[in-house]
Amino acid sequence: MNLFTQKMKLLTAVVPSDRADIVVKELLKRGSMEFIHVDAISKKDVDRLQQHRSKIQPQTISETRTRIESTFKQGQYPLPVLEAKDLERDTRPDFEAIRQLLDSLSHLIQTKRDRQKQLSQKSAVIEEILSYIDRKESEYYDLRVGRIENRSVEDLEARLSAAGAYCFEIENGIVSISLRRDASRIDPVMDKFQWTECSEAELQKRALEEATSFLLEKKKGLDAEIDQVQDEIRKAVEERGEELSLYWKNLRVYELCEHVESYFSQTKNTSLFSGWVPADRKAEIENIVRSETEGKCIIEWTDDTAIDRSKVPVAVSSPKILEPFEVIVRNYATPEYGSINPTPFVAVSYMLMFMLMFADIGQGLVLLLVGLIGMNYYRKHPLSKDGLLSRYLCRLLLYLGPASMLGGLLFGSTFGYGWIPALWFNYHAVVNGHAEGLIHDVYGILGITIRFGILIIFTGLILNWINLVRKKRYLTLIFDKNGLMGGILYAVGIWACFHFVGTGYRSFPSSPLLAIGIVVPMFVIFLKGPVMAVIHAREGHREKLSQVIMDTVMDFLIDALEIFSGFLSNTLSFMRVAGLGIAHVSLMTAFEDMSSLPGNPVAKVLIMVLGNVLVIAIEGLSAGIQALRLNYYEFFNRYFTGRGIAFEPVGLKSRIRIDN
Amino acid sequence: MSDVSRYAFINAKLRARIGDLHTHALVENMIKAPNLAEAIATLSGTRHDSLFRVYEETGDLQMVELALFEEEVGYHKELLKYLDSRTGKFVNVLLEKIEEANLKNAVRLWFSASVMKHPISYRSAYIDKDVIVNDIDYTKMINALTWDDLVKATEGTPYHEVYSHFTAESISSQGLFHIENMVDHLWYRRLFESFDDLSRKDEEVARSIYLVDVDIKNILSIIRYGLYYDFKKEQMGEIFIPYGDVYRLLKEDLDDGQLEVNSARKIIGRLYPEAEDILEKMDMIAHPDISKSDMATYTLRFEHYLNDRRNREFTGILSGDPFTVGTMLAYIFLRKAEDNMIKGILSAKYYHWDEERIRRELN
Repeated sequence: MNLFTQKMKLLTAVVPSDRADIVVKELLKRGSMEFIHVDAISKKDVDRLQQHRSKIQPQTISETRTRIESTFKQGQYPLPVLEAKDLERDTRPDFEAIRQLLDSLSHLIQTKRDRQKQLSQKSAVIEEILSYIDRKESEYYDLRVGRIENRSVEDLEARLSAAGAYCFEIENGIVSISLRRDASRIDPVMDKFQWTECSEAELQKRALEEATSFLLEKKKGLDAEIDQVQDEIRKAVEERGEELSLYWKNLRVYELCEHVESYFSQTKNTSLFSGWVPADRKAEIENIVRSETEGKCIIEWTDDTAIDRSKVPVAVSSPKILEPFEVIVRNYATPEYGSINPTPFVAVSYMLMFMLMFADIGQGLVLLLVGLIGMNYYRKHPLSKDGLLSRYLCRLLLYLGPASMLGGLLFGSTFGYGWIPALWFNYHAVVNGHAEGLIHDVYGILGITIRFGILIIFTGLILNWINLVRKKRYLTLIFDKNGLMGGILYAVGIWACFHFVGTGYRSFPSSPLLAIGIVVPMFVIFLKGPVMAVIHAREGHREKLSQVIMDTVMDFLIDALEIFSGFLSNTLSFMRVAGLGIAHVSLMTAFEDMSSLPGNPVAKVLIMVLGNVLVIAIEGLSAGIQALRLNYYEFFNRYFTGRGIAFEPVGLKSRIRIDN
Repeated sequence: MSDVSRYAFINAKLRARIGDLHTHALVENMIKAPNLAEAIATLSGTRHDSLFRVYEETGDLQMVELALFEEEVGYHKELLKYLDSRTGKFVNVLLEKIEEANLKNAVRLWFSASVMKHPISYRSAYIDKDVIVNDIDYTKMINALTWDDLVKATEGTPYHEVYSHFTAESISSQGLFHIENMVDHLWYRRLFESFDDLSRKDEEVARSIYLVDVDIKNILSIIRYGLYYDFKKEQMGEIFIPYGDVYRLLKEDLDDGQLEVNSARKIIGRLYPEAEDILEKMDMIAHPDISKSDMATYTLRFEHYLNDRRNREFTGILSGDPFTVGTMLAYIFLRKAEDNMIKGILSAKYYHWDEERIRRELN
């Protein structure tokens, strides 16, 4: 793992044009290069170079691939995964053959869907009649029992079916059932068949039951046919699945190669390309280019120092184990090039915050189990969509569960009970007012979380100072509110506040160090304006004196306000950690009290189970969100500018489209 | 409750959703799909995935349209959950517009079965039978054996006064045009009445939008019924929605019994000068030999112009004061526009229109 963002190198290579394709494929296999247009680096001689021209319309490639994917979706066929060996097949996609195959499948699917539509329409009519029978709304359907003269039941069935009615034979008669609104079309058919109504009460009564079973059976048959149609579609796609997969892979390779080559510039015989590579993969990439061109190439490496750092893409490498926390960082922004990788710090601070807010061995174990079960489910069902408990959340729970369990051990809580003695202090006893020892009331807990907040904020400040030194921004390091002067003022402020609290809110420290610790840093911050004005003047941007004075005073006032109110509010913000922790204990105590009311052991267990479930769901979510908020606003604000551009190497798994 | 606390949450939510609306690539893929099944398959994995699932289960485009309709009802009801009773009452009236469409469909179905004697068997499944705003018994309505039974199904709802105004004979002889026109009028009346409950700022926004909306509807009526179907001025007077600038200016002519289609055209040209060019081409005095098909093309072009104008207006709202009902109205409009676009493309695919024709009709 790199503590800082990865060091990058800019590769510029000239290769013979006839070897360019092979080089591209090898680079795609490695997937560790982000390509840039050569004219972004050197404006000289760019006019002499020609841009790469696609052999096939990029849109055609993308559209055809999308059509294949759409066919896969209709047949519920899995999307293929591109592998290195797929790069070996070097064939130009046969668009005509692909189109013919897709058209024939598409036509087949449409025909089957049309059949499915007819079936579901029939099913809808039956469902409607059944719903009326079920709700006893006999005014909406006609049930008739009778007999016909000189004609077959099959004939009647065929004619009635066309009019939207159903009929079947029973002992001593024929039953017909239809929607009453269709009577005007059914009556003439009945008349034609010389239908005679049967008035036997028993037969009438039995007819409804028979009709219901008949319709249910009919519907079951139709639903099975509908399923069969879907199955036929699935099979039709599956039959051509391998062929389609090959076409898809062929198109995807072509698409990726086209994407990479779109960054190439060409002369008559050579291709020139350029891109960023992590420094530790420099030798590997160079070897690939040299070996694939049999040494007929020119390679030039440019160091990151030669290029404006804001234009260098940023790659962070964290161990796989910290991946869930890397997502938290990525969701916020990309760190600046050369700055500290925030992931390990976020991992520690996030888990600590969660632990302090949600400390319970039993509930932590439940979170861990939910995470494990969820991960196992997604492993077994790789195609299933993320539910409420997404893949990411399940992975995160594997960390938060143990963190919560550790908190439970420190504070002696297991499902809200003190079954295991606390290693540090009993949180429940403190909140409920019967604790002894160093931490014996909620003020003690508030004190711990404020100290924890100070630690987090100071860590953020120190990380910022390291970043500024690495970026050689020494003026910011000195003058900025998150620089050294800001740090000194914060330290002095903490000292003064702790002294004030320690004396029972009566006095601040009498030492002259307090005045020096405030006045000197404030004066230095005041000097920021004049110093910057002198530097600008030396660079040729002279400002008017009145402008400098005005800017200095305004900047100073704003900085002073931000330092005093900002640091104070950021620190006090950590009291929410105590607040959530206290709420957690209070809720569990409330459920414990409620469980003792019925005096029934079963009810007691049920109330405690329900209480635990509620607390895990509500408090767990709150603790997770608050920990995220504290990291984003109180911790990241100190050192994470988020001005970096993410490194996006092109590889086989890239989600690049070339038609937009 | 202040406007900020009333709208802060819902606006943030809706603005995020607006950003997710109408992806160009999706529409392009749908248009290029060779048939209906493939066009619907492109919706899979998108925000409209549920529509693909419905089609996968039924193979029926009308069931997909019903699902879209239910989604529309669903997001309106979701908005209601986030609003206080004051704004909620207004959104409820907007929801009644959707209910009105469902009601019209149910009555059309009844008309088809009872008056036209056409089979409607399975078509009842395409009507949303759940309560949208008012407790209408759609089942009773569709299965009504007489007009009076149908009217009874609307008892206790605002629509009853309209439906009870007609008789079985008048419906049989005149069709549903007048009754549907009256339902439209009823809705606009309820809409403009609901503005009184809104805050001053909200009322201004809503009024400005719906006055233009009424203008557009009245202009389209002039073009469709006045120019295309040659309706008499008395009939035109019944059709006009009695709000907005177009109605105000035309009313004098209507009262004087002098409504001329070409003078109406001049009034529209004055209010919407950007459309002067299209309107000039529709001038029957200047172009007496204009064919019906040319007239239809110009009508379509004018409808697109009005639609674009409405689109610009709603998009403009999004850059204005965020703490008004405007964001919500823009969201409803933009979402409806997207749904209509999807519905339009799918219908076109159902009728096997080629790519060029779909593009022509959409733009």
